[in-house]
Amino acid sequence: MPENSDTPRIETTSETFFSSESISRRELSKRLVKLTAALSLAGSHPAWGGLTASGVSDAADANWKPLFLATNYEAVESLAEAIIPGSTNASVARFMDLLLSVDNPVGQNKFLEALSAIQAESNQRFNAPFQTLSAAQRDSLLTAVSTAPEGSALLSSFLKLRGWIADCYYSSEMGMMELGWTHNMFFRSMHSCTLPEANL
Amino acid sequence: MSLPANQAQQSYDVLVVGSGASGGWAAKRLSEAGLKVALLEAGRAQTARNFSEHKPRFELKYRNMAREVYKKSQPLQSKLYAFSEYTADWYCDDIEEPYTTAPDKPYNWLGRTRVVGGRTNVWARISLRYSDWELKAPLRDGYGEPWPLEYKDIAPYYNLVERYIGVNGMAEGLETLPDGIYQPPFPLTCLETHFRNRVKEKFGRTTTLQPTAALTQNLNGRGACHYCGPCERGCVSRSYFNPAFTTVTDAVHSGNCTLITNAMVHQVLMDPDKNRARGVSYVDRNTKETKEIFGRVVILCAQNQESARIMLNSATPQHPGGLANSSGVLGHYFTTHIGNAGASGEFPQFGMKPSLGGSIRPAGVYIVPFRNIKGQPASKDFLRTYGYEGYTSVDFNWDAPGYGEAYKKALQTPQVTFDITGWGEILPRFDNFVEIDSTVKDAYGIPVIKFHVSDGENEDAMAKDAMESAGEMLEAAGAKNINRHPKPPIPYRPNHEAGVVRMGSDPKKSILNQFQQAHEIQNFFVMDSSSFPTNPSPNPALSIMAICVRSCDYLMEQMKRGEI
Repeated sequence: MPENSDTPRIETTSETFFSSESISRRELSKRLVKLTAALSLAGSHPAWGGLTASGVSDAADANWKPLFLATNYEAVESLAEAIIPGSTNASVARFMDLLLSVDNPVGQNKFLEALSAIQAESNQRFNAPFQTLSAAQRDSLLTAVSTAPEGSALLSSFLKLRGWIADCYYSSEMGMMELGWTHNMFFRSMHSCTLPEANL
Repeated sequence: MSLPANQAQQSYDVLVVGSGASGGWAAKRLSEAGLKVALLEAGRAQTARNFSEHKPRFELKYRNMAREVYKKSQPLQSKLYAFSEYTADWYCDDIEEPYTTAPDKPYNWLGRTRVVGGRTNVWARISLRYSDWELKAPLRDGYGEPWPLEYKDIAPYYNLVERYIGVNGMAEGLETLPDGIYQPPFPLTCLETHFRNRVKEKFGRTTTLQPTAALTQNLNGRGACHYCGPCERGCVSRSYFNPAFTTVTDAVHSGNCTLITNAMVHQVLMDPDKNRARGVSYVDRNTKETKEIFGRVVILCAQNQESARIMLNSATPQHPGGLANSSGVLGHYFTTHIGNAGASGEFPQFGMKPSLGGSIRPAGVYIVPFRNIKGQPASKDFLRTYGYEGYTSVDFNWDAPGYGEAYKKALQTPQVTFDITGWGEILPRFDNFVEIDSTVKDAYGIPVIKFHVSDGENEDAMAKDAMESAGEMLEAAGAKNINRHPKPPIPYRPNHEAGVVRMGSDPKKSILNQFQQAHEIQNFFVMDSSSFPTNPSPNPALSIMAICVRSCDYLMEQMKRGEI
């Protein structure tokens, strides 16, 4: 936006019409920080307010209790960490619990069935639930279930659980950063194709 | 000035109902010319506080992964591609604002936004011109009511609108897709360039960048696109076109336009002695009080079926079948676009490292209509034509085998897919219609719309052709694992509805003249897509705006002459 924005400020009694509350273009350019080939606003943009606070507040909540998982929480947490390392630090099990608590009964049952299938396999192989297995036993079990025959119920259960865990991990700040996300949302240009045939 | 619904003045030169693509333009054009305008919007005000395009998922309570939460109050709206946890409150509550359908004819009415700017808050920004080839199709193939205007009538207004909203695109010099006045285009990717060249060589078909209402150069105080990606969640630099921060703002800034939010207009008020519209009645969404507001001219820009709903709910002894409906076509000839049939294929040779951290181009490519087009093979199975929207996806390999660190590493193998989906004209048929369901009222006491919509043989055949041709082009371009996707059985429609208040030269077959003015009521206009007698294959928003501005100029001329 130019220094004198073309959008009027309009006062209403109940609501704010679209006004110049967003930062100006000049302000944007002042904040631009060179970051490799792109330009970054990094953490300076108002949209990032509270960015780092969200995870901290969860972790600090000592009174937190599962909404849905209850007795399964420990199993889910250990499975998540084994399937996607880093899940414990990213509070994956806690977020899965939140999502499951608002899911419909069909989705909740699918999750519980998949979890039960893995636990049944664990009990069959080691006579113990997954969360009590040693690291070597966990590895052995996950190798077996992840390489179960194509189309088998066991492989299907594993893939469903992995899907849920991956969704929750890679939507966390930690997970997104592993996939290349940065706080930068401002880019000067798009990369152009440099192939000879791109000369249109 | 802008006022909430309970503080509006009572009389204006012009009342404009709806603040979307056309309503915003009508308000701007008329108020900047000095007319006193009241702009009534059913939704609330739009503010920059509502914009969340830079907000990462992990800052949301459910990280946009709990649609079930929204299915309780928005079971239909949550089906829309642009609906998300970020913007759920931009859409209506389906329980409070229901509609009904004929028992055997389900229909998904999506994109019912309740915020200033309407659907253009969340639109795909594709800005294509109509050509004479499509406007004159009824004259050529004998099906349907001809448009009462030609490309040359609209062209100056396309120019005007494009200069203001800012469209970037590639001029291709095609008769069947007239070039616009474009800002420099977003670049094509290597995959798109490869596809464009192969398809041109093999079939003579043109793949181009979607002409997109997003800036590549600063314009009128709006900044060029910064490639963050999710325009449908707002834009801090106001780079895409949204009436909330362009036309509506200009209108209000003129000092001649009062924006009235949360005003659910349900009826046009008539003076029976003079057979003139004298105002509108609306329900204040906050107080649920019914109010009246008056004007010399009434313009509906409420959205296709919403405008018909208002007209049908405005029946009087003089207009027993709904306002201006002695032709009996009001609510009929409902049309949308086919929008789901196509194909996708993998292009591993164009693999690049997937990342959540790169720039994102907020546009895809467009394959210009070729079927039933001059110089191209015709189809014996269907009339009219379709174009394709194409999108490249470079994703992580979520289906990689294994677990643990090995899985994390395997995720990084790029999965490059290119999907093209046909978007084409559905023929306007009398038996596809909307009416008032007098047995059901919304939370504001307004009788709701009932849909009677089903697909016909023509669109089924068109969708089949779109699917097969998509596969054929992907094959020619060397795609692997091609997946052809057919049209779904239940009409999931893109939001390109049109036709239920159609224009025409013959008052016995149409409701509006070429200036979107009711044949029967001189000071009553309908300037949204409901006025379109056919639904040409290009996305309609640009034409909605251009034709609206043309009609506004006509209206002002008539007012100057004392004709209105």
